[in-house]
Amino acid sequence: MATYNPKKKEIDCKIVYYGAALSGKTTNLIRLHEAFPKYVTADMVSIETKGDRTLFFDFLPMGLGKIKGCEVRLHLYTVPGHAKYLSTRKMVLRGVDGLVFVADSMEVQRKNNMESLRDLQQNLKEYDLSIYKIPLVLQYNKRDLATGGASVMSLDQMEKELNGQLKIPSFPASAIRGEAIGATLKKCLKLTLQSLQKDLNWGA
Amino acid sequence: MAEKPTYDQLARRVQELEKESLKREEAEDRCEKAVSILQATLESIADGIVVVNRHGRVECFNQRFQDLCQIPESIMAAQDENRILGHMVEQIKNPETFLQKVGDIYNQPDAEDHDIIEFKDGRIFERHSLPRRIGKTYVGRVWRFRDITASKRAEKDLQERFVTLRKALDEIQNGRGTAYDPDAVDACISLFNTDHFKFRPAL
Repeated sequence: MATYNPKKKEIDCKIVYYGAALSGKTTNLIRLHEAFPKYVTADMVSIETKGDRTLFFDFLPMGLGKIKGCEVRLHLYTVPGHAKYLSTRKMVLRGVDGLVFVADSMEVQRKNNMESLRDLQQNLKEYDLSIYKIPLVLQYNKRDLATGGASVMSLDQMEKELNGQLKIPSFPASAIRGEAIGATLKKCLKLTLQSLQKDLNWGA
Repeated sequence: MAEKPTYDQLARRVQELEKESLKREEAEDRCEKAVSILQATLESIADGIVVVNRHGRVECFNQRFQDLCQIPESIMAAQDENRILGHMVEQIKNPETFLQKVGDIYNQPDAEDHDIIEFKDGRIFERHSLPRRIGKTYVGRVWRFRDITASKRAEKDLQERFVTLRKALDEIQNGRGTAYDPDAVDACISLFNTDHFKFRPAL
């Protein structure tokens, strides 16, 4: 849940990058950090296991300056994708305002993408949030692998399987190359701020 | 169209507003006093305490908590429990187990929980977690941390001494010579003389 300080005219909101293990959530944050240094307000924090996989979260704070007269600060988080970290993912989701679901385009990750999306829906439900109502954007990551001859799902297939019911904005992307990472975040941010504006009666 | 109020009506309204304002000021004073008492109490406690709401926002904490867990000011200022936990996780021996346990507690809002946390630098903390409610509604959690490093070390020393004594007594009971340190021998003699220790009957 965003914190809004009407006296200081400051708003802090939390956007979480969700998705299966190895889908590229951390890479999104690393590339955002590199691509938009002037918005980054502090170093990126990664809580990893010895094997460099996310154990708890990655965290990247950004300052967007004034929007509708209010200083907007963004807190970007990733969750640990591995199935066994269910309760940890749930902890990171607390107080979420907007979400980016990072789906892996590799054919072998098809099942994991769907399970992760179901896991997200369930975890949101436990916080009395609906996957259909929360600001959410889909990112079809690793599109660059298609040119390398890897077995990659078509965008139509991913749309049908992951976005058939949700019908939310989606972006083909290559986080490793920094492609569409900004567009994904921008869209998520737009939806999140619209939602917050309504909820907090801010900028009315 | 609304009727214009008379002078008397206006004067009465002003009096009412003055009374309301006075009541509000008194309530604010009482509130300020209560907060000051609570803050002073919180700071006087030897345990580290942090209070979190159900959205994972830190509502209050004492300096002892920040000192015990060595949390930088910038992280405390963010009032984000995940970032505090993230900082702690990096200092803990078994971060996965710690996170799993904390996550499990949040899955059971009514649960009271107790655990021992071991840090990489040898410190040992006792951790308590209690649900916080307003009326019957769950609104968050209170976490309490106590540094028990010294008592754990003393307990371990005692345990080691006990094992040494046990071995020495077994040796004596079995009629074999003892080649233990003088402390163990003194302690054995003391058990016989002062505490009227008797050997267990042979099986």
